[in-house]
Amino acid sequence: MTTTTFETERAYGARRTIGQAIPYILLCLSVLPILLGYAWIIIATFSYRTEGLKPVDAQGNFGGFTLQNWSFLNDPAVWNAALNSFLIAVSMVIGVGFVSSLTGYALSRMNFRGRKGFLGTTMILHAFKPEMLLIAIFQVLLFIGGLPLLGDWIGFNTVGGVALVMITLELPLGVWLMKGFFDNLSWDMERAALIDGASRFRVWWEIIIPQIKPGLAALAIFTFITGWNAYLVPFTFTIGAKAANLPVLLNQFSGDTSLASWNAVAALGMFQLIPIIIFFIFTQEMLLNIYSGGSKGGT
Amino acid sequence: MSSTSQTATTALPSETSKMSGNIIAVAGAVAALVGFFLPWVGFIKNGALVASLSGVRVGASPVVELAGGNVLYRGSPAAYLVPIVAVIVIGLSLYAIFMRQQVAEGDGFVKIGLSLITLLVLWGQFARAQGVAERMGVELQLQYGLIMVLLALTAMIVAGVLDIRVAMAGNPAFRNVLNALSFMSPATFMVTIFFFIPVVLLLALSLTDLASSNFSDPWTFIGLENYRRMFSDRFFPRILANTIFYVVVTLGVFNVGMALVLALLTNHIPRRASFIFRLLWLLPRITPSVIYIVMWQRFVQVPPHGIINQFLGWFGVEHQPYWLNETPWLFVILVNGLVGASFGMIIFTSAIEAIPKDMITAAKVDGASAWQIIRDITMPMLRWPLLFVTSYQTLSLLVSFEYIMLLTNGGPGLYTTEVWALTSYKRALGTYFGSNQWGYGAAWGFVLVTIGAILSIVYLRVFRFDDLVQEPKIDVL
Amino acid sequence: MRVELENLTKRWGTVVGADAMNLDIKDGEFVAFLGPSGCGKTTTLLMVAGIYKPTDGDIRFDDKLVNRVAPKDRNIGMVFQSYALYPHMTVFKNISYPLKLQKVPMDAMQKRAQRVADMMGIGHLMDRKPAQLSGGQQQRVALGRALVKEPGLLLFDEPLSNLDARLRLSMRGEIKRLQMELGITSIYVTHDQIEAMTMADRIAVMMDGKLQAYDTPDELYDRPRTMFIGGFVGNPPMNFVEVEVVKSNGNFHARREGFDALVSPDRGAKAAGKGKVFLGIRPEDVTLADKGVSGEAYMVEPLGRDDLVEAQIGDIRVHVLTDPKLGIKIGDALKLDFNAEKIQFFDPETEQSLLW
Repeated sequence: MTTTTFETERAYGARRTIGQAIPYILLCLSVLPILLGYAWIIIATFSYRTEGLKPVDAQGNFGGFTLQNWSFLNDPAVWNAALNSFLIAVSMVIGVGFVSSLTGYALSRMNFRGRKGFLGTTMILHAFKPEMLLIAIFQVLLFIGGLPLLGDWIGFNTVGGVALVMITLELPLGVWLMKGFFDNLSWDMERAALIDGASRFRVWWEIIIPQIKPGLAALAIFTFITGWNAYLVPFTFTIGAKAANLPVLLNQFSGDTSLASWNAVAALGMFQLIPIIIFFIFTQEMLLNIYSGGSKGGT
Repeated sequence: MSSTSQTATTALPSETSKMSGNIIAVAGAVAALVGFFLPWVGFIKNGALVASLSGVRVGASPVVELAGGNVLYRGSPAAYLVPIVAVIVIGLSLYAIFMRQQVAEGDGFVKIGLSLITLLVLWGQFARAQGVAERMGVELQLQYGLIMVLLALTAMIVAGVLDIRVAMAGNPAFRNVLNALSFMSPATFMVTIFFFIPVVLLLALSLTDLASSNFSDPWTFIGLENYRRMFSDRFFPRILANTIFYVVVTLGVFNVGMALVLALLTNHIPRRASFIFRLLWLLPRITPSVIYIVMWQRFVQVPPHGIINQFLGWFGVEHQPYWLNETPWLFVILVNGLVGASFGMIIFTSAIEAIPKDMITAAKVDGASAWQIIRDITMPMLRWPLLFVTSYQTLSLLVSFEYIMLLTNGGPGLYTTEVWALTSYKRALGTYFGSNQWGYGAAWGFVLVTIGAILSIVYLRVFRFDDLVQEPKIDVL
Repeated sequence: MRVELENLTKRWGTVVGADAMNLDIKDGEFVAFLGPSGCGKTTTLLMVAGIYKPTDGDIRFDDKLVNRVAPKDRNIGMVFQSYALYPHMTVFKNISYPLKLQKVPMDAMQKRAQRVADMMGIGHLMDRKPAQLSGGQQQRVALGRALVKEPGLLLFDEPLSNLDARLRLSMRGEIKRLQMELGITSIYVTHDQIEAMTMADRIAVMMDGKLQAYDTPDELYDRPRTMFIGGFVGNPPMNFVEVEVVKSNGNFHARREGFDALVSPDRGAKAAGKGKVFLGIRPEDVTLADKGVSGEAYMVEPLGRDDLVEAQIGDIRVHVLTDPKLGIKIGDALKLDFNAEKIQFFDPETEQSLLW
């Protein structure tokens, strides 16, 4: 630039407005697919048919509002699957929360031989997606399933077995997150408790855990969502409806249903989305934090 | 920890616990010996003159056909395990008897751990044997042996507990180690069962021809046959090319490229608005995969169902095909990319926010344009986050297949969008080819596991996660 | 409780936290660990508390080796700089937590906690959470929690440095009074030498993980063993001047270019003939006089009660405390008299005092 040109105030203003609008336009485009997807689910749930996003009645005219898509609520199989989904999610919340707060505490604040090794392993398992191991885990579950007593609860094709596998697969992330929370706590408080006469276990339970309740809550939400949404593991380790959860049921249902009547599929999907949407609306900040802090990096 | 072991040798266990520990260990040894021989007594009763006490086949002609009960032991792991277990139990019992003057800290754990593992394995094998015997209408006379082995193992566990108590009384530092162990043990236990054992199992499986068609038979090791078969598969080059294409394009365009663009864009709009966009970007991630795919299925359908085609109709476009068959890769990558991009975006956004405002202000004062600021200041500061997201997501993309499986399942047609991980899963666990070829699928899977493990270790080194690890500021455990 | 540290050492890899500390603390004594941050005083304290394991050396309480004794079994109370109160518990629960862990029955626990709280003047705050208290109140709760189990040894880790100056002054007196009344052996870690001087019976001065000196405040002030102590103890700090001590006409003189100070014979004799040594003198031991070393006022800092004058003597500068009434201004010519009985000498190599 050899000469400096001055543009008029107005031209500058116009350019500025456009410049400011561009990010919004691009950002809106980027979230368009998911918004359209949700729009379709909501529209389809309450309509007889949809053509594109347009709800129509049996004659193909605009309208066709109906609640009959929700008739699946009379189906005990759905409630069974919902119960399974819930059980998987809740046992994940409890299992991952408990085990990873124990392990995370030890890794963060206890000085024992092998600590570095454990941490390294945690990191590797965290980076490393275990989906390829499903083949071998399948064999392990079959074996456990063969054990008397134990097999009925945590073997192949049981909710317990699915939950146990899911908990373990989620542990590296949970341990890493919890370790991060523990790392930020005051050492003096823990020292004070030790001097006051507490054992390490009591310090953990009575002094430390109350300090990281927000972290635990975030982890609980995260694991609940993961457990509630789980598809691959339940799909792989269950046969038939006994231990199937909602996503597995939904996938089967959508495969069996003709495209034209996918409105029932949408309703079942909506049913499954309810807890997700509740969490999304009420715990946004927490969700964002947890996904940035320890995101699994998804697909 | 040399000081610890020193004190262990000096601190002699108290006399009483030493005695009771010895008595139990002797009982354990006797029980194990009886338990060791009783199962074979059972065979003889069945009329099979078992050629070998160990239960392993002898020579070319296995003893198998001689009696019903024997069938159970034809090459099944239990045939090898029972004698091995017995030898271990006896060895430990003897060790417990003769070496008790000095109880090392590990003694108790060795005993308990081995006992528990053998208990679990035997439990499963005997249960299975029982089932087979029932089916064949044979009376299985292994119960006495089983009971004796169980008793022996229980005795060993009790001896182990006593060992630990002795070691604890003699050495306060050991009590602390126990403390740490009790914190670590649940996770260790679960990770061992569902991570470490599966990794070993995967390797073992990949060397066998185990499939659902010959499930009840023993594992037959066939060496590297599965790997040979894999590399000479007619579709191998295609799957490999698909995998590379999928990883590179998804990563480049979405998980890193789009994530970066979006992070830069959100940085240029007010905080509140950017928060909303970031939140919306979480939606694909927290939507159940099945529902997410249902949405996409709906986008790409033929008229009158398809949403894309509805839009095209508004603009008067005549060409309204089933888009998933028309451009399968576009959608495979879009579906994965829209989920994956949020990870990079969140990381980049926080990295950008961490850049000191003064630097930006200084650059502005110096007369830099927005683009120059991004190029000269933001991008260099994002070097590490970029490298981190790239490496981390490469690994994720390489081994994940859930969305592809749900969307196209590798189709349309033959292997159009099939990636390595999906092949592995389908061979082993899908019923696509009529049978589950666990061994063959495991070979595909093990290659990925190996790549994944190597990559993760390299990342650990590169990103020096060691440095992030702070030293505990309390020594007592 | 008597405390003995023998050869106490803490290392992390190559980093040395504390290096061969040897100390003994008498029953009922109040000892301060004084030193700049990172000198190893807190490390030593935490080893005494049992939080850190010594790499080497022994800790004895009343002649009993406690190296392997857990913190909870050492019968100690500790007050932290950050107070380290449990934020989710009320004041009462904070104070009574040690008793709860000792399984003291509820009514006895309540009585003891209330008594300690009343003693600390926080008896009316029992139901509050720590976040609802002021800094001073929090510190009292922390002190109460340390005292409630009637420990044999009290440990303080810079307890006052988070308080504002005025509160610090009153808490200082209170802690000292409390310690004297209860007669509990105490170790007080601080980097503030005024705190150490005013509170402690004896001060252990530390630097770089090493014990520099261990003596009463007066001895440390008047007869510092090393240059570090001379410079660290006392405010404003001691002046150091490189001189040579010579004997002429039966008198000892400390001399350098443009500088000549008379030294008392017993002190001078120890430094004479050693070549170049460091002369140390406190600012209050230099006075303005009619004759003496001549210099010029380079800088004047009014401190209120005194003026701190920095005098230029040849190529060196010396701090002098003067009476503000003299109204010394920058550039004034000065004559300085060095108190011959207060001059210290240090070996320039070892930095050890030559007078000991």
